[in-house]
Amino acid sequence: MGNCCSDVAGGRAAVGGGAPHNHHHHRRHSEGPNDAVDLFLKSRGYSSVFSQIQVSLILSRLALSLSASSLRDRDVLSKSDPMAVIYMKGRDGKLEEIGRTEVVLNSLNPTWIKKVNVTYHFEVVQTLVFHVYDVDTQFHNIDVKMLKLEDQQFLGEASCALSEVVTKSSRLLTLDLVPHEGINKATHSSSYGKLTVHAEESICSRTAVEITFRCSELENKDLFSKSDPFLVISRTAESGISIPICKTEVIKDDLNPTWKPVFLSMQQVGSKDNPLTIECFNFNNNGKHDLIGKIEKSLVELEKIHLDRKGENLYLPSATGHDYHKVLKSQLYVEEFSESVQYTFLDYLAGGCELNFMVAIDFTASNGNPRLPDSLHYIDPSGRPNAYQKAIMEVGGVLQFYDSDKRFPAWGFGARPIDGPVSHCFNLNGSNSYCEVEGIPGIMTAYMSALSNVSLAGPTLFGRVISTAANIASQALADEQQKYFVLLIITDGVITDLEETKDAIVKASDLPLSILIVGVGGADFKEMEFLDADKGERLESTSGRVASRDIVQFVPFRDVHGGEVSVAQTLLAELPTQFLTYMRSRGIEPKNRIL
Amino acid sequence: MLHMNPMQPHQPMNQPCTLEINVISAEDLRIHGRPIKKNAITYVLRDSCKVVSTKVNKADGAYTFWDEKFDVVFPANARNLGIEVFSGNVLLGNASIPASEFLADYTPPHLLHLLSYRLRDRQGKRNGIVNLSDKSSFTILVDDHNNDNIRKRCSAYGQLGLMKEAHEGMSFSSRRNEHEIRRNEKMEKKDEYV
Repeated sequence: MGNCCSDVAGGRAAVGGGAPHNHHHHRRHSEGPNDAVDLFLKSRGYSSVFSQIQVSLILSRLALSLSASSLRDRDVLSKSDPMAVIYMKGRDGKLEEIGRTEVVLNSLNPTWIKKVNVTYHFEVVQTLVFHVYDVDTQFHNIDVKMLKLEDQQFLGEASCALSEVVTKSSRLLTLDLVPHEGINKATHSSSYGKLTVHAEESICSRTAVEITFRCSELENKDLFSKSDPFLVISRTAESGISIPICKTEVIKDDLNPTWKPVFLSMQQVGSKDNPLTIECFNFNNNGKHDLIGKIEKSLVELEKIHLDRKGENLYLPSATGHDYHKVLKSQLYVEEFSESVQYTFLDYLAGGCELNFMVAIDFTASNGNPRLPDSLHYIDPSGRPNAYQKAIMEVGGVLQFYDSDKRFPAWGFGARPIDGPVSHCFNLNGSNSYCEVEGIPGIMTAYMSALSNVSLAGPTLFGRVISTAANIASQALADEQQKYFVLLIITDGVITDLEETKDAIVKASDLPLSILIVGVGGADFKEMEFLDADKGERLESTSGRVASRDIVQFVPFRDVHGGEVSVAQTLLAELPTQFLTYMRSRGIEPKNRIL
Repeated sequence: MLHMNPMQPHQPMNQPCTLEINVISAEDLRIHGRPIKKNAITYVLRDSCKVVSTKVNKADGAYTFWDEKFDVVFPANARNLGIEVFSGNVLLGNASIPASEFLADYTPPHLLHLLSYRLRDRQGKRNGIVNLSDKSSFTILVDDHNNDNIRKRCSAYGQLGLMKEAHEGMSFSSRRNEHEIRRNEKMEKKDEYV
């Protein structure tokens, strides 16, 4: 399985051809909720290290289409001839053009046909900027790509984050057009019209087919033993070249072999009607495998062979003529044929699933006196954010788009609230009854007021914070809400309650929860690495229970500080995989399916 | 909706329930440090009594898949589930799962729990991991018919149907499986004589 992606990094690379990993155990998809376990089952075993469920579509290709209404009329004798240009804003704030629509003639309410493709990345905020122009008549027979934008009349611009579009169940987002960046939108919205952005995910990428092949009465090609057959499945490209997409294992000494199931994704096959070439070879050590026989069938035909339970004869192309094929006695059977649909991360978002952000901040004394500039908690009067503020802004900045009410639970740990004993989980807002704050600014305000209201103490315990977060996730489950929770813990030190923390994480691995840990300061974070299961073995609790999946991601701030990649990117990169592992292993489907 | 104190995990229900257990797979099973070749079988125990077992898996080795489902009745006074994995008649490892881990866990009991446990051999040495899933359904006691609280709780779990065998301590499917266990035990004894 050369195209099998075994980890996240591989998964990203293998977006085009990510087949689920081949496993020995096989059964047809049948009824019952416990069949969700099928995936859990596939993800285990045949691999000595803790492996995640194969998540082949971490990156999603989106096609953006645009329409506008009530555009300004800039032409004297007719209406405007609008065209839209789409830009992506880089981290440095520069705009990079990613595509243009066609020019729609004589319309103030255009619907542009041309779609612009964009790759969705979860871990960064992808800011899209749209500029709408009225293209002058004299330029109408020039290719839009060649148009000089400064020669055109500007009709307005709009901006949004791509995540704002994909979290809408309709994947439609309407924006007000404004004259120029920086000018107050509210005062100009009526006069510049509106722009609607629609994002569409490619549908075929979701389907996968699992087929078990068998052959009968294969010809003997070896002298002293029987043939060692294997199958190669190829697709014929538009150019006529045959592209191998899948290969079975070699079965030794068998003229009636049944191979392990093969997985074909629709991305590899193209469509169910595309003809596939199935060739049966006899394996030779020298690499010159003899062709035993071949056959051309599409997926539709293969499914029919399966349903009819009849074999199809293989043939051998003749060496001389084009038309004459030698039909063989050997037959190909399709023992199993099953199709499955794998929902993508974006399917769940469009179905209304939210990611709920929670934050917990380390208030232990090792951070240093917050009033002194060498403290990790020092609030710089110049406004330069400290490591805690930076981590909150970066991670929260990405996650806030996935949470509709933007009310974030925020806690502190390892400090003494006014006159109280040391608390290992107190509400950052100072309230005794509720832990939520309003938006990222709310977290910042609560953090700064907590700094002046609590006295830093110790030790560093995570157990309470994790179980409080787990209880919130648990409550959402009990209320049958489709939500996934992300707890960000920012800490400067090594935890003292390693066992309790491990127990809490192992228990929480069965919940819709991921834990992101950012280590700030110069402490030794070896134990944190240990919690992050992808750096070692599966996490085990004191009771012998083992985490059913990896839910922790740890990043020391100094590793990524100042580099090209932000902390948020590193921390969040694994989140869609952790999310899909949870959903798929339980057979949870998106609420509103748009297939 | 199920009422729950948000600061507490789900409370154990002080009533019998039926566990839908799926013995999925085991990983990294060894004998004397070497991966086993075949014949792994898993027994599920309730308070140290064997109640059900998987089939002997003749095909898989150190990484064995069973994916077999059982209904196991779990009386209110039962304390834990045990897992024993054998290869032939050699105990490869066992694990004990306290009832709190599937009845009073963060995940509400009626939802699917994916549970993985470390297996330890007779000497207490680590020997592989077993993967299970579990869902619990609660049953109503006949004489509690008029108790609205209990009925509500049951309907919250979608389980209004009465299951009488709950009181007898074992459901049909697990009873049927008991014969198989006896047969297996007899075979084990035979092996010992040889």
